[in-house]
Amino acid sequence: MTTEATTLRETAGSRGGWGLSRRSRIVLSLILVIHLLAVTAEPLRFFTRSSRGTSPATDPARILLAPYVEFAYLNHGYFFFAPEPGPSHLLECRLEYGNSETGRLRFPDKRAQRPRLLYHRHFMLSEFLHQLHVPPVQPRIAEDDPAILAEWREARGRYEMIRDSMTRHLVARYAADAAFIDRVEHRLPSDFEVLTERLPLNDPSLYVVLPDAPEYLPAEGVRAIDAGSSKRLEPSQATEPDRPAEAEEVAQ
Amino acid sequence: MSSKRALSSNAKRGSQGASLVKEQQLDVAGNSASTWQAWLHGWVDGWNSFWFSSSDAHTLAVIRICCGAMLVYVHVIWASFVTSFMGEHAWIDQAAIRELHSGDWGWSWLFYVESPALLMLHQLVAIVASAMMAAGLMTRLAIPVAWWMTLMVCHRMTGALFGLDQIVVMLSMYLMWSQCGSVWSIDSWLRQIRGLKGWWLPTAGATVSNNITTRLIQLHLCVIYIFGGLSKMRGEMWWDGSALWYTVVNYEYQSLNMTWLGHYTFLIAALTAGTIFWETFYCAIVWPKLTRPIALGMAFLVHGGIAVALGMVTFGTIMIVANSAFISPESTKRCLCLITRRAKT
Repeated sequence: MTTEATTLRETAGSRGGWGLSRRSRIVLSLILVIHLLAVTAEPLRFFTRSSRGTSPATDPARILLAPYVEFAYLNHGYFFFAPEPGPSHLLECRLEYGNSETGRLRFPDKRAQRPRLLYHRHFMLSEFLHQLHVPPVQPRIAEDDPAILAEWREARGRYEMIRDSMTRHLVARYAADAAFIDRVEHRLPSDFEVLTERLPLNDPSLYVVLPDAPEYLPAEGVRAIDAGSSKRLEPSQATEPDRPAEAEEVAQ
Repeated sequence: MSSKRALSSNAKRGSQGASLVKEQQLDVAGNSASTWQAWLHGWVDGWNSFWFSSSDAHTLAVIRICCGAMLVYVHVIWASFVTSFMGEHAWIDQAAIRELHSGDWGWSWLFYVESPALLMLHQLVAIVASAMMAAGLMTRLAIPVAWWMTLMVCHRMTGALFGLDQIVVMLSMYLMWSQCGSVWSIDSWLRQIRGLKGWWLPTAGATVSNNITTRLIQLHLCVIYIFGGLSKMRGEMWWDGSALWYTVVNYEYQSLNMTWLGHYTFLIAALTAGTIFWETFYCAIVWPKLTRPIALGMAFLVHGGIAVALGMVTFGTIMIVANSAFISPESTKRCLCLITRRAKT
């Protein structure tokens, strides 16, 4: 080993035999190490995330390198089909027109969005809205803990902002007067259902409309705390519920 | 007198012994220092050899061609529906996207552009740069431009992105530091046949930058796979062998009906286990020459399967392309020469 290394160094010549000067190699090595740290920083933090937060061991590098990691689009966890392959989430859209006509659309739709890459973009958008979803909370619970209230208000506000943006897109794109979006979960069937019961993969029974609020919440005051302000609203002042009546029928 | 002599000879012997011990100690210290030095030198040489050797650009040229072509396709799709995705009434409009990125460094100039004409012009520049990257025309300029335009689109299109975008940005980011346009490109034709010279033509022959680019792609892939594998290890389905079943019955992904696999429970469980072990240990088995064909063969099968059966042709293809970074430039050259010769005959 020693002989090999010595020979390598001896034959290396003034530039170290690596085509670069010693100083260039040191500078480049430092840059490479920092870059590799940036590549691993996000997946490490993502991986160590739990209900108690993230590991303090992974935070410093990620925080320090945040400008580079985020701008260079290196902030990925690489959790493909992990930890388990789960159900898909779709957008069930209801459009309303002035003359009491209604229209229904589902995103993504293999027949409507072609080629496949375009379909996949819509699929990712519907999954994105689902990931952002935060249910409304009991006003009493939220008001008891200001930290929970602030956290919830931010997360709920983000979800509503994206949902409203998507709704505006549908109104403009289909020249509708109003649009409503429901999140639909497509449950994955078991092998027994598919192979023995011959259930098609797109059987309507596998689609479930997800409620905006958990069922235990009372209808009144569910949205009494608006994401934008802590002002308490009377039930009559509360905004329209997310789910149209028809959607509830589908869910049942 | 004799006892004196004896004493003095004993003292002499003692001092000789002490000096011998001292010498031996020094030898041991010297040996351990030299061992330590040798180890350090060996490590430094290993590091230098890993990063700063020179290598040819043939494999990177293949990656450039495929990545450039993929970027053309990606930007053509964005351009076809540019107002729906980036316009005034986009799925995620400007106010929403700016708010989404208000707490991070993901910035794009497309946060401030709504005009359909300007958006279309942006996509046109991205398509032209990507096409030049694939064709190998002015690659020193074309690849950074293609990377930058793609990056701008990625920050603007948060929410509609997936693995494909991560990989094309990663590949173009690394390729722009290499001389991948020096072979199988219009640049090389201009230099060799037309005799043109200039800073904008990539350096021909083996270079350190080609090697660094290759190493970065290889290590980045290892990071992707190890975290992909470890994250799957947390899931029950990957252990009980049912994960593959629940992947093939996902109607939204499915492009080829593979539910017949469910009749062969052993096969589906073995394939599930094979996938998770390959992914987790990819970073270990891809480096030794002996096991590299196994790692790359599995990558071809898994990503090929994703492309054909799960409807992600683009993602599956670009992952196979990225894996080719582990094929030496010499092998790529030989392989392509063989194909060209066969095509000619």
